[in-house]
Amino acid sequence: MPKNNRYFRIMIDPKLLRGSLDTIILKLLDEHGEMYGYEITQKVKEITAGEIKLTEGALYPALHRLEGKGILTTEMRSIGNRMRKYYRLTESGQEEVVQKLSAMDEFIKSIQLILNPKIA
Amino acid sequence: MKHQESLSKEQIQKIFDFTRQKYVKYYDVQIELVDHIAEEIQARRAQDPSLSFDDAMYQVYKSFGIFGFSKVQEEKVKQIEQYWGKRIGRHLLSYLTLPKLLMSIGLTIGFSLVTRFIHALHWDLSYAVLGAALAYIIWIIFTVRKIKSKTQKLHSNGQRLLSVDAFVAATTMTLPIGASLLNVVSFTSDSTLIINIILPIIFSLLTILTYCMIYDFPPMLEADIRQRYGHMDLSDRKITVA
Repeated sequence: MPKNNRYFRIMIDPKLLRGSLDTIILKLLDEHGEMYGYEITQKVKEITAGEIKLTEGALYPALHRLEGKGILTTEMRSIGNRMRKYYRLTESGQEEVVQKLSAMDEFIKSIQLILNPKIA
Repeated sequence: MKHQESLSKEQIQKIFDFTRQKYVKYYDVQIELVDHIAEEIQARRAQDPSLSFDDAMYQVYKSFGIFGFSKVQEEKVKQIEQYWGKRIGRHLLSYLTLPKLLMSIGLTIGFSLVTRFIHALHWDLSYAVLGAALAYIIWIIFTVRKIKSKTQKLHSNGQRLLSVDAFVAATTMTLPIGASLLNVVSFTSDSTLIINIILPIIFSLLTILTYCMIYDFPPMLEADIRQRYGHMDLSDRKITVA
């Protein structure tokens, strides 16, 4: 069993992440304006000091799903010898961010009430 | 921060070929995967300069999990198919809402005059229905073949355009639905209702569908290709679908 000390790091259970993936993507795009897929994976890794690693197999389907819903829009740009696809929020995407963040905040508070009733 | 060496044009091409070998047939998906893999290869080789390009590429592929690239392609196909399904559906529905609804009503009245005239001459209307069904089925076969052959030219060597395939799937799916409209006649034996209302509505709906297939849908695809794939060199491809 991994421990949270200087030699072992508790990695976050991917099952916990599954429901939060859209919120993470939307929040990052809200903060950074536009990002490409690889950049999102690296930013998440950097912010969480490697605690959360977004897998490519989960990230791209999520980006495509959000694009299909009209929450994200894309733009292709040339970067030397290849093309790069940038994602950014649409107008409805910006509204979605507010809703998702508020829902996530409520969820975290409720979980804390269950896990740490004394502190909460 | 360690220096990241950019990949050469040949190495980028090798990644494109690799994605194709792993059954990523659509250019739309390939282009995004290639950029991601290239970035990750550069980062891994910056960390470990002894790592070969091929080994780094394989390591990146493995990091996509047991489903590899297929899950990424699957979601993208779903997204573009839904996009065309909605666009085609919304366009057809626009003929049932104002202002185009007036045109549809006018067309129905026109067909109603024709069916009533045929009936007044004591001709058997079932021949008209049979003739319309036959003509429509022949037209379906001809149109589907035409769309497929024209759009095939839009795909080039190893670069299959997902939006084109999704367009073909969405438009050809509406054709059998049109043919099945003629079945509605069999639900009633009230000849006055059939002559005055049902047949004129069916004929006008088939006419609208035919019109859209010939005049409305092809420019929609052409505009989509220019917008979606505008960054590509399309000079060797004939975009005219109409």
